[in-house]
Amino acid sequence: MSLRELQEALARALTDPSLRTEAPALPPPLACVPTARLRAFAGVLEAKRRQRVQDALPVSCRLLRGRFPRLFAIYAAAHPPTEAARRAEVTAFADHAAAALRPEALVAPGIPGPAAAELVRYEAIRHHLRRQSPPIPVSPDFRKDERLLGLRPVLGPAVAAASFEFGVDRWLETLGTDPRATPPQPGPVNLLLARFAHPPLVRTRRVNAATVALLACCDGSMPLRQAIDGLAWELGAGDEEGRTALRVESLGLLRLLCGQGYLDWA
Amino acid sequence: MSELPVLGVGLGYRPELRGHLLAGDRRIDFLEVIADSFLEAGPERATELERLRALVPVVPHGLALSIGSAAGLEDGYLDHLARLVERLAAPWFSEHLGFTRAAGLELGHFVPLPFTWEAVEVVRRNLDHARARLGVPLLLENITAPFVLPGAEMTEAEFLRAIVDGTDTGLLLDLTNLHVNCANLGLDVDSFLASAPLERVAELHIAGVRPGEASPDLRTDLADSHDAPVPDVVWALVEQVLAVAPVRALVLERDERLGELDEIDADLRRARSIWEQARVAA
Repeated sequence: MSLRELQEALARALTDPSLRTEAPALPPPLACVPTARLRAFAGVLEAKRRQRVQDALPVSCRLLRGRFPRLFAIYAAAHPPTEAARRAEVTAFADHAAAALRPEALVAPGIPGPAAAELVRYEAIRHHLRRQSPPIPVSPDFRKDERLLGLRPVLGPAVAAASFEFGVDRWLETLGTDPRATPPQPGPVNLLLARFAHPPLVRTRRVNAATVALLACCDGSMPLRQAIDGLAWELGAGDEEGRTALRVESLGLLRLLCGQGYLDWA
Repeated sequence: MSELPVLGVGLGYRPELRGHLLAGDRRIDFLEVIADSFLEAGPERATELERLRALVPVVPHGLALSIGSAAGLEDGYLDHLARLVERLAAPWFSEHLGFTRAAGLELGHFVPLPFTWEAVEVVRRNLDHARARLGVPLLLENITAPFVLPGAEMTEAEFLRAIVDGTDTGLLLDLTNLHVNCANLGLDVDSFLASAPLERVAELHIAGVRPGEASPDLRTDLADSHDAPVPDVVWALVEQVLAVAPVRALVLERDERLGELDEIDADLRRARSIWEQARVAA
């Protein structure tokens, strides 16, 4: 057996979830390695993998306590640690955990499953943005509204907009000091998360649904004026007054975002 | 090897220690950073690195080069490493002697190699490749072995010698890993030190240990937990190796219980005391 074959067999065995319960089917040269030692080392590998995700989602980890490692074990069993998987691990785990938690009436006293699911997802988005580079500085010309309308803004890697049912941003902050804090009453919440360059941190801002939708439209495929007009039409604010209101609000927000280095410009 | 600079007593950098690292009368000659934390980092991490460099020399220590991979190294990863080494003007780059990648799987931790001539050839081939890309000498670190792979054609010490002989590759001898392996696998530390190429040891690592977890079918005496004071037996090894090896750097590693600054300071003071005594004796 070549070294390459040996390493591949070992890598598969150490990441095979059946190793927990069964003796691994290893080729002869490796069969003499005690299963207990392989199992213990596989546990170390999974613990290190889980630790990286826990470090990225500390509040979710605190909220879910013993549930977190169990959720991760199920996730890990279904997701071999390929290079691609490792790169998107936090987000992928958050999606997995959210799907598992969402149907549950209560995850803990006073904490509905959907709220816990949203908290994990929110924290994962925040983590993702924190790892991104800040957006490219914008031109000073952005201050001129008319010129701005002609530009093509795109959501840079350091901005994300998402809708939630619970005010998870505020809940997450409360959980930082009170681990028994319960989520606020549900209702439509639209959050814009963006990474500031100065100071370097991610801030969350509550915005209306139209703005979330507007930002989602800003993929660089059309000028901002056209995006706003299209959105206004879809939202039933197709008359000039509605479009103007939407434009004013959007421009106000965009000016804020640009001024603080939120948005990337194509 | 003789061209490598003497760096002194250093600390493995962890961001949690940032505020305390260089405050007060704490004296640290250099910092060793986890290279992987800075490879694809944004401007924040770059700034952090520059701030550290303005204070003390900074040396990169890798986790995922997978120098023992029979499938070879990843050029993209090497390119990132090369940029970091250049940015730091690092005198060397150190990595663990094992593999972390095989069959398209990222294992996330070091898996031991069999002590065979084929593995020696693979590592030497990968070292040549990495050396050409990085432009600085590499130091290889001995790892803790969760198990021994069958088919060994030599001891670990002989394996290390076979890899570094005739190259400019040095060794980063982790004395805690050595102590843990001897305890867990029933190896003899004196035999290791007698046959290992100590003349190639450029750096030492030391860290704390804790009792391992025992189960009915597995006995593990020690784990290199990096969360406690360095044990006396490891300090004794430091003195022993410093007396005979051309060591350029001694690094304290601490990854857990980072709030216990008194423990960390006590270890740093003891490291410096032993280091300075050894320098005087030399």
